[in-house]
Amino acid sequence: MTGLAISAHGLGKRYRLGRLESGLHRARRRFAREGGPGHMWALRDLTFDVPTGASLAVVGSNGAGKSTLLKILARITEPTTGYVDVAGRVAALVEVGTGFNPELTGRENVYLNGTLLGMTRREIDQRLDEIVAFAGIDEHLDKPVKWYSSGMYVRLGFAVAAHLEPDILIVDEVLSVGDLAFQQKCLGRMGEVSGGGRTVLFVSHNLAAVSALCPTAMYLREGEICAQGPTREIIDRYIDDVKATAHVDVREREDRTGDGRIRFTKIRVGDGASVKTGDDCEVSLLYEGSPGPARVRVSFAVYGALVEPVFQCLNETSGDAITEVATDGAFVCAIPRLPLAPGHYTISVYCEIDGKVADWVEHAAVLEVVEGDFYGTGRLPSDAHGSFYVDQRWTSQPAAVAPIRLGRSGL
Amino acid sequence: MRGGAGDEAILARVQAADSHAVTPRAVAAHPNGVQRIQPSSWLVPIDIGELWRYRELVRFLVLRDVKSRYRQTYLGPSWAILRPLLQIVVFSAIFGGLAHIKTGTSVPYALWVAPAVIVFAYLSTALANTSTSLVTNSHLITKVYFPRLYIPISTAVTPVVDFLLGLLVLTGVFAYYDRAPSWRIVFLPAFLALLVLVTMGIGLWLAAFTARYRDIVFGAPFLVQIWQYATPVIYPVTFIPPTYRWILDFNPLTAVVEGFRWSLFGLPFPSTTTLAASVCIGLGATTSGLFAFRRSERLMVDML
Repeated sequence: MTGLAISAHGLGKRYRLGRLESGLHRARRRFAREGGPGHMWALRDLTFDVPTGASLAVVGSNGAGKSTLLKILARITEPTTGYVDVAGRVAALVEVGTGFNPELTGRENVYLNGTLLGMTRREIDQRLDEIVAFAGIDEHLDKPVKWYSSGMYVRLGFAVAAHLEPDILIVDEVLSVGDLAFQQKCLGRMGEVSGGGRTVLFVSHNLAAVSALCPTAMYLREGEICAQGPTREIIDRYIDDVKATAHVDVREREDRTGDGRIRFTKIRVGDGASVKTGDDCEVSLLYEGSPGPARVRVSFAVYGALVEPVFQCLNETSGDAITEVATDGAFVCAIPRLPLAPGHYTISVYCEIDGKVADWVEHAAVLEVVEGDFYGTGRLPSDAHGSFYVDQRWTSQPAAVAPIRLGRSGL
Repeated sequence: MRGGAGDEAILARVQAADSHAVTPRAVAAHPNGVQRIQPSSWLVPIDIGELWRYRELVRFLVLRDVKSRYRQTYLGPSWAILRPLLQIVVFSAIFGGLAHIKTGTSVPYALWVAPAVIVFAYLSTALANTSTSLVTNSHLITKVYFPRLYIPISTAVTPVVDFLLGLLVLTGVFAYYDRAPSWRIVFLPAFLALLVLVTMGIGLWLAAFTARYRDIVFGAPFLVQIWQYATPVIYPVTFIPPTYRWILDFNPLTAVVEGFRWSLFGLPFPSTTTLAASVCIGLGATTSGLFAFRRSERLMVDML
């Protein structure tokens, strides 16, 4: 089984920006001799080969064209230029349980979902027992899916997909759903698939999973192939890029999304240099623009060394409604006793005004956390045990007594 | 997770493949076939083999639509019976009773109008649903590839279930007048097939058009209403002066309605002209509709 499973040549995809205008609008625009809505190339001139039996990871930040590439390979959308040859059956998992209908029973949904994914009824008949066993839902098989727990729903959806046996399997972020044990089971199943001479393309933000599953990787940046090779090197390159981008002044960044009613100009944490673990700190998102009174959703997300999401702060979840926006001001988020372990992090910022994205910059700034006295004991756990510190109280007690009383600060 | 030696070999091949990137190499021949994914030309072919492979999908899509159709309604599927029944009563009262429209036969007006009412109940449901089918199924279209033609096709097939329930109403009206259908009822499925063919053709065009502009969503119910008045539903063909009768002749549903009345009541068989016109328009609209849909289906994924 040598040769190529996928061979792409000059693959490109162009999207039209904005909505399709109505005939009346177009007539008026022609009359006024204005230009039409612009276009955006999501992918540009991609040429690459994937050998049969390879497991290739596709990494890159949001908007780099990963999903577009996947959608072209899965034939969900057509390329605008170039072509790609694929050998054998392709199955793409963009979502778990596509087409599941709450009114149908588990069994009926297996058949609907299976046929949508390209299985014949006979193939599903043969694998039904296996699918049900994999999902672990046997006694609920003939109940409507609307009575399922979300865990059961996801397990059943993945079980169908896991029994597809395609020649080329394309997996998008879907593994991020489901409980940990089930994720392990799915990763194991994918390992079997790639071990069995099948070709796997894995699109993920989870760089740990990527390096476990795929020996080779492709790095997409702004719709073009930036690098291709051994996963470790590619991941390092990607992480370096993310850090380099985060060091660029937010004001200068062009790769942002939103209508620009406000634009982030600076992200300041604490006094501006670094913050100590356990210190109270303020994250200030400075911006320019004067939107006036508006309903604002503002958030920032913190990513770790492997670009893995660590946590997110969103004014909506904390219940702090923001309805008045000062001209050229700042959104400030106060975090008491920062529980982050020392290390380098990046911060993405996002702001939505009246339901429309105003500005969104990925990895807009770097956050350096240095050692501090989180527990007030002068001690910290070793960093091999995660990136978070949790308040704790230890006692020793005989069995079966009243629950531990947490003293301080009403934890 | 995988053996080290295997990784090395694959790495070497990836690098070799990389260095060949300028001169295109062919993918390996494969028992499941090699497929080229590229921008499609003006005329998008219909992949019959693929439609055949996915044929069972229609069944499950129809099952899904039937099962979820009447959820959250108090009366449930009885609506499929109630709707034509009420319409028959209203039509009989207004057009048969007040307006004194004569059927020109011995068949009572209520019984005579019943099959036409069921035909239009099917048509209006099918056209309303097919025109919005791509939007209501956007969660499938943007997530997985399958022959999208099956979306409007299965949507046009689903209301056949309502049609069959409507036949129960018809049986009731027969019983009310203490009559029995003619033996020609065995030919009824042929006219049902013609009805589905005509509806499918129009439905495919509407779905193809809705992919670009949603105007059809507003236009479809209006279209059905006008169409109903241009079809001998509430009046017999003889009601129309001969000068304008060509409108009925070239209306593909005239043959369907007349055909139903022929097979149920033994009334005159539809004229050859109108039957031929109906079959031709049905086949023509469906064939061209398939291609029209194929042409616009690639646009809608990016627009939904």
